[in-house]
Amino acid sequence: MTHYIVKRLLLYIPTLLGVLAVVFILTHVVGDPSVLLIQPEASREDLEQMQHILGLDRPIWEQFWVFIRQAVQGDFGRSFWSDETAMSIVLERLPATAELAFCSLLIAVILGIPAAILAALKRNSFLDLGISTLSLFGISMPSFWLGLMMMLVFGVWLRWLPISGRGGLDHLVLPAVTLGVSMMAIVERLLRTDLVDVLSEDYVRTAAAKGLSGRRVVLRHALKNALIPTVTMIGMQLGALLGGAVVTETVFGWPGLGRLVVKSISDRDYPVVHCAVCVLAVVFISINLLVDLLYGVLDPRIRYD
Amino acid sequence: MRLRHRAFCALAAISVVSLFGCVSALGAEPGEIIVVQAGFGSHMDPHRGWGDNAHILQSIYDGLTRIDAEGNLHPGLAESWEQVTPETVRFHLRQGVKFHNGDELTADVVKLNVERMSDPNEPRQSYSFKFTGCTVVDKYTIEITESPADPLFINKISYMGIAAAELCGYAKSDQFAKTPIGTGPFKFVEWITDQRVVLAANDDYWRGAPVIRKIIFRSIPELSTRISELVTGGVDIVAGIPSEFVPQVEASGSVRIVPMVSMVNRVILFRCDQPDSPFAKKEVRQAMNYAVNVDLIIETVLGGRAHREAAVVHPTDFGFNPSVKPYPYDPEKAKSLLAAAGYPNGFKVDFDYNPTSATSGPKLNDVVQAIVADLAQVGVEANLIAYDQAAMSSRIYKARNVSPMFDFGWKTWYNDPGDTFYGLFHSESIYAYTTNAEIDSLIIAGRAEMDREKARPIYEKIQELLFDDAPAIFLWYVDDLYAVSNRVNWTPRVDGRIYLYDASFY
Repeated sequence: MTHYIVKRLLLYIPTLLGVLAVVFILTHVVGDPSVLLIQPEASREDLEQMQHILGLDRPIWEQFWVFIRQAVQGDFGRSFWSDETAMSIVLERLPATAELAFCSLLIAVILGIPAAILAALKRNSFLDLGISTLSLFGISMPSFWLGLMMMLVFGVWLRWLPISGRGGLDHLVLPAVTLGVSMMAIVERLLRTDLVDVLSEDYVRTAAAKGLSGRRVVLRHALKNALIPTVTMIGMQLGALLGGAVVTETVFGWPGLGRLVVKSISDRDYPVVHCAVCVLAVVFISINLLVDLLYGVLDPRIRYD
Repeated sequence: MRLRHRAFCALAAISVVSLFGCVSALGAEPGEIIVVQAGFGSHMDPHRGWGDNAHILQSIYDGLTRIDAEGNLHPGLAESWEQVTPETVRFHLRQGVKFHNGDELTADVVKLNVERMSDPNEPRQSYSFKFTGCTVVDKYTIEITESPADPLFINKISYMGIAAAELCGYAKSDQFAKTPIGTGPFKFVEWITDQRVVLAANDDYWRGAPVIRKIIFRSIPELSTRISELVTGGVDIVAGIPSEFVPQVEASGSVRIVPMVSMVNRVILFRCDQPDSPFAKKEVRQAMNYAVNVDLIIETVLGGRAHREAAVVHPTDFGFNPSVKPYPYDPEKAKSLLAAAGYPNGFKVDFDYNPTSATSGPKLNDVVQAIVADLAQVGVEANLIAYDQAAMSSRIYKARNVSPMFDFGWKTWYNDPGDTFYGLFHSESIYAYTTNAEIDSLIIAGRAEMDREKARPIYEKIQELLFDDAPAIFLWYVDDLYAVSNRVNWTPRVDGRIYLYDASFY
């Protein structure tokens, strides 16, 4: 187990180096921040001076070397626009993003798993059909539309909840539900299918035959085995959510990473883009590792030696 | 098991109670104004381009001079000044002005600001000011030299915010974001990233304490969310309301729409510098102006919320020439001009535009398509290509490979079109692709003329020549639409800054 984890951690190094190289090339291909930083009255000499200040007049391989050398020490430089260190800018947004991601995940799991169990147990009933139809809506609705509709109903008409911004729990409800609904629908669809398969397995029949209660058969024997694909999917969704749910963050004015990354890309703020992508890559790889370790908990047949 | 069950129920109950217990009050408190903008800028450094934080910076920092809502010049931190030489101005500072940290404003502090602004190793807006000298004469007198001499120097220096001495020691901008200290009517309280900036009234302000006690600037990127907040009374001032939302906003009954002409003029610039391009010929450029039904586009696409221009100068600008009238819509004349220039069947051309710029104005996507449709009527097939701000800027003034026609917006400051003429139409400008030597020399002469009355006929002549030379399709100035809560007494400024010192409550 320890050997496996160390091996996986070592794999972080080539992955991150690859990510750094790709993001460096992409940012330098898409444009030059100096054209945005100069004032309208600027002359051609001013433009060259700005490129010099930002270090963009140096050969590209030299810029890459400096970038990699600093990045491996966790130093991505300062934002071209605010002069703050890129890392502090990115870390400042992480709590808001994590808060939103975990709350929507919670909604998806708390509502999605019981719905899937009910649908699987009452297969082909009206209840199953009803849950499936609702899930279909959940998956099909674009999040910006759902967000705006919920804002209209609960914020503008009923005035129960604040429309935008981050504050108390009340501010979290609309964005978290907006994000949670589609994820909940995916959890329900996936888990229902797997549960239906598992419930027809011999060992489930055996468990029922030896007199275990229905609840125990479903929760202990069937659900545990059916959960593996769902856990994989939740892990990937969580990774994507931690990367920032740009649309939802924009609609609800949520101060998360997604907005930061989009703004930094349009501002060509290289240091912040580099740092954000790198932090997100670490988060994503770590979640993948956790998911892989969780397989072993769910299915003791899986070994890591 | 039962215990666990109870614990779960208790937790759920606490969650529900806390959820509704902490529902925050919607809307502003008494004495407080909430202003919403799409996003914040990145810094609070008055020595760099102000960008999206301009409203905030103008509330915190004062300049040596001051521009009022109509664009007129007034004394600011300097109560008077005199021109010592064409390049040098001597400022007499107001005595007894205090920074928000209690320090007194002196000539030494102003000198520190000028020096920090001139630092060649930092991305300042030093290219707006070519400072070549700064001398402290006595505690309240300072001489500042700029070379070459600029007749608008006194106006421009109004936008150079004077920061406290303790901040001028920092070369980088990050400290300014933590504790911006100026002499302005509002003091900095807090900046919560991507959420809000809070300012409180400065009761010791040298022009008297402001009526507004607290301003909260909020950042809401999505337009429909801003409108929702507005109609539910969650905010007081929102700029940039699109004309089609006006009925919805006004129907709320608690908000009014206040229009203010923006000084951004919209033009479609031509590359006159390519000898084999159709736009090298004046007749073709004139034909393009005749071919576009600008009045109809204003009426239909922009809901009538724009004002036509003939040669980039607004009627309230210095040097406006009323005898230059906009091109009429005349597609037949356009066709005959194209035929005379050797293009009886028209031509194909690429047309770059940028819908993401701060000066894009409303509905640019619809506007450019309407223009393309009009041009098609006279046989010109324009192929629209959209770019984002950085890509477009790079094409225009770094790579210099922009398409033969491209959309552009330019904001005229200080009611003086000199910089606009230069930026858009002088062949040495980084934005322009013109080749008219006569216009070049007049622009230089007009901008450098220290006796402004002598500059007036030069500016008038430039408009006549621009109209005839037609290096652009001349379009319009749009009205910026502000939604303002009915409890707030405030009028927008011509420079578009939301400055609430003069605001009050009804």
